Amino acid sequence: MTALDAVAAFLPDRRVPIGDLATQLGLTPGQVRVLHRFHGLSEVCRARPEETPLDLLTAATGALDELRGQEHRVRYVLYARGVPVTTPFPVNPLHELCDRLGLGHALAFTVTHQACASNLLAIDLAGRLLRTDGVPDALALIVAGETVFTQDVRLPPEARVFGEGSGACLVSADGRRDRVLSYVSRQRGDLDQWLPGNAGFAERFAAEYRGLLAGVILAAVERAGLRVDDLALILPHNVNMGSWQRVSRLLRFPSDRVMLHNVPRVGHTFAADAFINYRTALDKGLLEPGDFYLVAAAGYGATFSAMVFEH
Amino acid sequence: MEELRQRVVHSIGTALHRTLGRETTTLPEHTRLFDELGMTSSATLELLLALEEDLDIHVDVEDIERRDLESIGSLADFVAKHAIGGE
Repeated sequence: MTALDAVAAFLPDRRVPIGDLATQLGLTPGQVRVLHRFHGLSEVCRARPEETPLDLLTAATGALDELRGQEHRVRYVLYARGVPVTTPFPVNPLHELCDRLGLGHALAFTVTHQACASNLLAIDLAGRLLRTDGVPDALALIVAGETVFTQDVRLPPEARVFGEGSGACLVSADGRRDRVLSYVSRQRGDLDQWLPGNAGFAERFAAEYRGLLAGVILAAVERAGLRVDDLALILPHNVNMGSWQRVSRLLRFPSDRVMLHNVPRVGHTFAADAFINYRTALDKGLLEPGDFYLVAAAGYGATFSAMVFEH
Repeated sequence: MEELRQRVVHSIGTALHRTLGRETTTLPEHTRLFDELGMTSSATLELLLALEEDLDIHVDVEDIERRDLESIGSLADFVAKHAIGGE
């Protein structure tokens, strides 16, 4: 059974109030007030100007102590990425990272097809690759983390502001730490913001978002043979507070068991949210051995995903 | 509450006039903010903040749902029901 053997995260120590990003994001004072009041956003983590995506990934893998001395077991390195382009060609942080870590022997590739839900896709894919190979003790390393780089992600946000951080995790095909019990991913191509003539996409996405996310969560819980009440915790993606409170109501799940701690202080770190939030949950003592928890993600395109784990 | 609701409806017309730059004070309550006036979710929330300022009230927004923002009438209902102060 696919399992996370170890998870690490890194957050830059630079915090930027979202009001300070208003000019860059083209936000009016009224829109900033809406982000504060209705979406519960306050500040975001941002790398220093001289810090690169490679620095973020290096910091996260540097905190992954369980990787030391196990490099030879790593067969795959997957970069789970929210946006297709994060660095100017020909810079490739993934291969530079592999060189730095002594993982030149591993097959390294990027998974970006499901935008910010690519993290869960990468976990599922890593587990299936390792199981298919059948090599005893083999591992996959997943990394996530990117900086706000393209103009697309600087567009005026309706309900989220991107932060910058990174995560790394080791996946095995049969580990015993955080075992994957189920994974459900649903795609709605008609909600793709880049579809030609897809005017009004943002409003349709907003109108359907809550039901689609709640639906995929319920489906994953059911596939795991559980009820939503059985979950000790939901680790969300850090888009905003308001939408999660509404999803909780729809699920009849207590909102205090959705770990929203990082939403107002970190922001939405593309595909790294899952790993950053896992570390926070662990550090805050919110997960006990045997607890069931769910990680949820949504990505433009649009993809809605949920994965249930046993800690 | 009905008196407050009437003031909210009037204030919505005034605030929309400021935002959209066209005659809005005579719009019927069933006017749909998204479909008919082309407003975004964010713009309807900005409208709610403008109402708080205009009417000197505070609105408890914790339970707000998208359906509350659908029309002038539904927004007025929500604001009148969840207003704190301003009486």
